[in-house]
Amino acid sequence: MPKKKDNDIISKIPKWVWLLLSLLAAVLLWTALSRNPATANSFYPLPEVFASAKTMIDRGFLFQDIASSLISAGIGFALGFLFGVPIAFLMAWYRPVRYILEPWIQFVRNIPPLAYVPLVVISAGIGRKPQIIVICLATFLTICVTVFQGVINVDETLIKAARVLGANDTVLFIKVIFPATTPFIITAIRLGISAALTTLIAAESTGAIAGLGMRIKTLSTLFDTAPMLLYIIIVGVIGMLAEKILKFFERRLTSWQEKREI
Amino acid sequence: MAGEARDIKVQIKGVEKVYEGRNGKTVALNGVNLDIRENEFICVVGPSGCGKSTLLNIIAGLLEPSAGEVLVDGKKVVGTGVDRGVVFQQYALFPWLTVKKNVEFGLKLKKDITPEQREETAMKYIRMVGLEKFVDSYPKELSGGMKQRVAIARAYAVNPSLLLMDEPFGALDAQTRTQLQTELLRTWQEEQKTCFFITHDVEEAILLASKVIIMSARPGRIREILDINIPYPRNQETKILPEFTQLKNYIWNIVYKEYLEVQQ
Repeated sequence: MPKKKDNDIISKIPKWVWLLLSLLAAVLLWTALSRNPATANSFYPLPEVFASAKTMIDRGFLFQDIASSLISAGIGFALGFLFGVPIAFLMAWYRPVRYILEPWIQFVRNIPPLAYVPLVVISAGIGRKPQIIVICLATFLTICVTVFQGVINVDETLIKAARVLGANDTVLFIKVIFPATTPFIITAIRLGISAALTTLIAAESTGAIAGLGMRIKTLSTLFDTAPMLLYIIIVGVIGMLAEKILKFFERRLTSWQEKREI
Repeated sequence: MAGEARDIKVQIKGVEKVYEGRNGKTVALNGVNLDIRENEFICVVGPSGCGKSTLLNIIAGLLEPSAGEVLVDGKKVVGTGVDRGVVFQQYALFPWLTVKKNVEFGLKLKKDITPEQREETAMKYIRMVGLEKFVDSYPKELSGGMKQRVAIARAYAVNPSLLLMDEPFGALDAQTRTQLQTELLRTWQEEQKTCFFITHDVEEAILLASKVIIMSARPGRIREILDINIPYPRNQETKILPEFTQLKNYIWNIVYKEYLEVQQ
């Protein structure tokens, strides 16, 4: 496997220094944008944005909103995953299931969740239930499509090899198809988390009493820009933290993969 | 020794295979008949598209013939079975398993052996292919030749009486190929298994085989069966024998003609 030489200057600088540089660059860019008259209205000075955290905490919103969104996104994602993975396997394994489900999965997948949220609310009422349903649907679709691709891409010779070594269908599934699909399941989780977070605003747009998405929407109608920016940053940070955790597991579970070094 | 009259191991009777594709039917195999005796080393050569891989897959039970049947030890082949091991050109190692776990894969599916026996058997064949230092390595850490050694050990471990090899050395460089041929000859003589080996390489076929099957394409059928009477043990020096060169020219001419016909 081709490995990159570790003696150039770029590799010598530790990762955390790069992170710091990246942060610094972002802060500089933000500061520039907040000074520029054309963009100043969107980019409040960072000290103001962070100062708004205190206001939001004092008003009792910040932690409540984070908790509420994490609960909705967490439950919605978990349900989407629980339905998405088995259905993806069924679609890959049994062609009738694929022929009946796939067109509709592709159909619904491209409709912006915001469009059907009212429909969910009409039946499910307001509160947490519609939020979970919307997030579940969005993550389910993403996870299902990704895992399905993974299963149908399992190297056929591996299946043949297992068969000639005496594997029946059950063994084949547990010992070959499933491990061979793990990288795709990880990718599906990654895309699913992203789907859950990007659906937050839509999910919380009708009748939520707390939540990051709901608060962003409310603050935007009030033109309360500084805390709104803070909330947007928080959503991004949650996504990045989830990614970090996922990377940790990915390294453990899929280290056997042949990867190109970039 | 090979070539003597022995029990019939495999009977291929009127095997046909027709693929139905978008452009109509393709006849991959057309009436193939062949008897393989116990402990024979059969090498199949022929141009691409002569159906040699299809035939191997039918014997393995991975494909069903459109007509005819294959009997192994007198029993009709229906589906795969551990009496028939397969080595694929693309190694087909499970990338998430270490060398040892790959070799143990088939053994774990056998109910009648203890974990100690499993370990012992796996190690025996890992040693046979000289990879005892790499038991805990993952396939991605191995070279092509090493991967194919693992695949051979894995096939041997479940102790099949018939070994089917589909161009196993086709993806390897010349040196590695030479080395693996020598090793395979040695293990074939030690383990006494019937081998059905597909190759593009005429030299490889003569070096290994007790019998060479030349196939023709479109539709795939057996064109000629040739006994190779060069005595074993053979090694790379066998290739300089005059009868080796004669056989090589003879087979090469037929295969080349077949190849030209396919081109037209």
